[in-house]
This record gives sequence, structure tokens and C-alpha cells, in this order.
Amino acid sequence: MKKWIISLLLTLSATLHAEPVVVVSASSELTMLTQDEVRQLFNGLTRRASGVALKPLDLPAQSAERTGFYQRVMGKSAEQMKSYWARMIFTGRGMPPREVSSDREMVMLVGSNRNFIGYVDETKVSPQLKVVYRP
Amino acid sequence: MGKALSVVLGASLGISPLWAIAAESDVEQTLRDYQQRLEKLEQQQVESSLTQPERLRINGFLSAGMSRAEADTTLGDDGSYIDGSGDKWSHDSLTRAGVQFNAQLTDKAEAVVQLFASGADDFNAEVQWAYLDYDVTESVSVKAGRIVAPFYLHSQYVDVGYAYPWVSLPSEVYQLAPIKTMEALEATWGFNTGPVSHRLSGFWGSSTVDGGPRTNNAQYQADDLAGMNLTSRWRDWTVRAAYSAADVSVGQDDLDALIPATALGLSFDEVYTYFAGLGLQYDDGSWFMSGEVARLDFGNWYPSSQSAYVSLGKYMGKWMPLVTWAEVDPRDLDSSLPGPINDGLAEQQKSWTAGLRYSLTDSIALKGEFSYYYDFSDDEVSTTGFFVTDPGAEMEDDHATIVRLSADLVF
Repeated sequence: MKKWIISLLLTLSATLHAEPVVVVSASSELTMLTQDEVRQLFNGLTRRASGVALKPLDLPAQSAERTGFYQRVMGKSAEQMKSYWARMIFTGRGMPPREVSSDREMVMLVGSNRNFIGYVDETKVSPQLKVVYRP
Repeated sequence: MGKALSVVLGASLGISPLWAIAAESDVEQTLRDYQQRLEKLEQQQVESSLTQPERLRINGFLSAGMSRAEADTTLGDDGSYIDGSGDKWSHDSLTRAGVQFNAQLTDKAEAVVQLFASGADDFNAEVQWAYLDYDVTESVSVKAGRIVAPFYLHSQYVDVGYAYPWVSLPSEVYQLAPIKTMEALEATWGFNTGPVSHRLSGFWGSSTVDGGPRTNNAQYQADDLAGMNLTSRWRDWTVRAAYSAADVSVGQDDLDALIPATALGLSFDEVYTYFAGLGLQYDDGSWFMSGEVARLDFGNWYPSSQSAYVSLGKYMGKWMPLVTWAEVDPRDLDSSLPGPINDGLAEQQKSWTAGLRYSLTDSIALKGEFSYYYDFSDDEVSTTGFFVTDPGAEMEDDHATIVRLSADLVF
């Protein structure tokens, strides 16, 4: 019984941890972002937060973290985001975040450049990264 | 012999770890160095490709549609809708495609060209947009050239069917002023007030607007076309207010083809005309709501109009049912004009549309729509709304229907 509870707790905490968090470089002066700021950055409506210029990065379109991130932060599905960006592209108002090839690349890039902002699974957060928003 | 061999073997095995360890650590060190250098190179490459803007970006859209109208008139012949829908299945009216090229000239200047072809125009490719976009500061940009006439909430992507849930945008509002592009100078300021993002634009230019089949393709020349609009977004809400005005002229020949203007002593020369629109949208990924009101007001005897629509849709996985109500109403009819002139020029109708959108893949959508149009005439005026009929005809039983289907994609 005890074992069962522990394993349940472990699974629970694992699922809790398997959630994308928004990260910037550990050397960034940013501390925390609000949900509105994260939305505006990843919607292409702003290029700054607290005076820091930020470029958002996306995980590959097929990744579960990306789907989960947009569902949690914007409440939008992959198709809805695609339709949103079609509107933005053809109005000349902006382009979607640049796509990295893997979460390894995401960690490496965000960790090395203070002007990138991305999201990764909480378990992948390296010492070079700083979590600025948890959905 | 066997013993000797085993001794030798044993010795060599015993010894080998010694030199092997030394060699291995060398190799490992070298490997580690290589790996580090490789990672660094990879990082530099990826980083520079991400920080440097792409020189040229190409995006395209395509809509393949078909439609059929059931519009009996009192004179026997069927009417057709201004989008080209008639009594036989039409594959041209809703079919269109475009390719947009965005070329980054410097880190502040961008050239944008959009080629567009539509079935309504026999697929003659034309340059729909061609402009230079210059970032004066990070939040202020200026566009010059052939640009979108920003009259409506969804003006900027009216041809990109994939970008909205309707097969075609509610015509009562979107065909009120059938202007799509203009030659103009436009300045836009983007700013945020807390969680609300705003875009304020002002423009000045001119445009020649083809009135389409409902006006025998009369050309409306809009000079000193100037306007302001503000779009504000907060979370799932978008609000847009727009006001534009111009001096509009219509050639006497075009006017005479429409009504006996010369005989009545009517002309249409540099008439102050304004367009005002207000739009509201809500989209939380689960529900979709969009509504707009618009008014087109001519400062002379020509009938002014007011129109509105409201749409409500529900996202259900890959499906999205949508229902729309719309109306267009003539305003300020000049009572000194003979009744038939007002009847011929004024446009009155209401409509209910039920639609369904299906996401085939994340870049292809299939859509279908059924529209019921009614209330073309009342005590004051007797019109055929946006249906084109033989002169003097009225809509049979004061109603008509249209079915529209389309496949929309972006690439």
C-alpha cells in the first residue's frame, strides 16, 4: 500500500514536472514574467519585457511540449496558432517565433544569449537557464 | 606450450591496460575537445541563423471554392449574387490564390510584393500589394506604395480563407465599401498599455474602386483618401475602430449606365464620403465571436448604408460550427429622388448563415456554408439587396439562398 502511494506520488510529480516552463539565460536581468507578458511575446505583439529585448524561440511543431505550452498559456491549439500566424504574416505584422530543432538546441541557445526566450520541459532546465514563468 | 601462451597472453593482457589507459585518455580528451569545438560551431551557426533576419521569405495561400445561388425573381430570370454565385454551380467566384514575397533590404527596410489571381478576374495575376515598409523606430513603421485599405477588422487578409472561419466574409459588411487596396502612405505606431496591445494607424492616399456587377462596374474614384484606425488587444479580446474619408467622383458615363442621371440633372463629383467601422472579436480557443458595424455615408443624393454582422462559433476538435446573422440597411434616402432611383441604388437585406469548418491538416481547412437572405423590401424601399437582377425585378417571396463550399490552404 505504502509502495503504491509512493509510486503514485512519483508518477504525479513526474507529470507535474513534465510541464513546459518559460526560460531565459541565467545571466539575464529578468526575474519574473506575467502570463500577459509571455502571451504578448509569443504572439509577436511585443519585443521587450522590462526593457529587455527578447526574441521568442519555438520547439519543433511536432513536439508535445510546444502543443502543451500554447494550450496552457494561450488556450490555443496548434491549428489555431497556425491560423493566427497566417493572419499576422499576411498583414505584415510579424512572423512566428523561429523554430529550433530540438530541446537540446533550445537549452543551448537560450542559455548562451540573453536576448532569447524559450520554453522547455521543467526537467531539462540547466544551470545556464532561469525560469521566468510557470504556466 | 599452452602454459607459455597463456603467460604471454596474460602478460600482454596485464600490460595492455597500462598503455591502453594512457591512449584512451588521450583519445577521450581529444574527443572531448572536438565535441566542444563542434558544439561551439553548431551554436554559432544556429545562433547567427536565428539572429540574422532571413533575406527573403515567401508565403502563399490558396482557396478553391464553389457556390450556387437559388434566387428566383418576379420576372422569371434568376438573380445572381455580387460574388458571382448564380443558378449553376460556379467554381470561379470563390477561387483565388496569392504569393507574398517579403524581402529584407536592411535591418529596418523591407519590400513586400503580393501577387494575386482570382477566378472573379479570370485568373489574371496582378500585383495586389507592392510597398516598402520602413521601421522608423522599434515601435513606429511607415509603409508606402500599394497597400491594403484598412477599413475592416479582417481587411488585411480578406483573400486568405484559411485565416478565418467563414467561406467568405459577411458580404453585408465586407462588400459595403468594396475597396481592397489603395496607393497610400501609412504610419503605424504599436504600443502597449499594461496587458493591452495597441496599433494606431493613419494613412493618406487614393484609390479607384470598382463597384462590381451591382453598379455595372462603375468606377468610384476616391481622392484624398485619409483615415485613422486603432486596434487594441487584451488577452482573447480584440477591438477595432476605424474612420476613413475621401472625395469620391463617378464619371457621368458610368452614372448614366446606372441611372438616368443626366436626364435628372444628377452628377457625382468630389463628394465628401466617409466610412466608419467598429469591430469586436473574442477567441479563447474554445469559443469564437466576431461582430462589426459599418457605415458608408455619401454627402449627396446617393443612398448611404449601414450594415452589421455577428458570428458565433465553437471549436470542437477539428470541427467548428459557426452561425452568422448580418444585415445592410439604406440610410438617409433622398426623398426628392424618384422612387425607382432609390429602389435601384439602395441595398437592403438580412441573412442567416450556418457554416462548418473542418481542419484536414494543420494548413488545410475545408468549409461549407448555407446562407438564407431575406427582407429585401419594406414600406420605404424595394431592393434586391446584393443580388443582381434584370431591371425592375424583385426577389420572389422576398428571399433567396446560397450554398458555398471551399478548401483553403496556406503554405
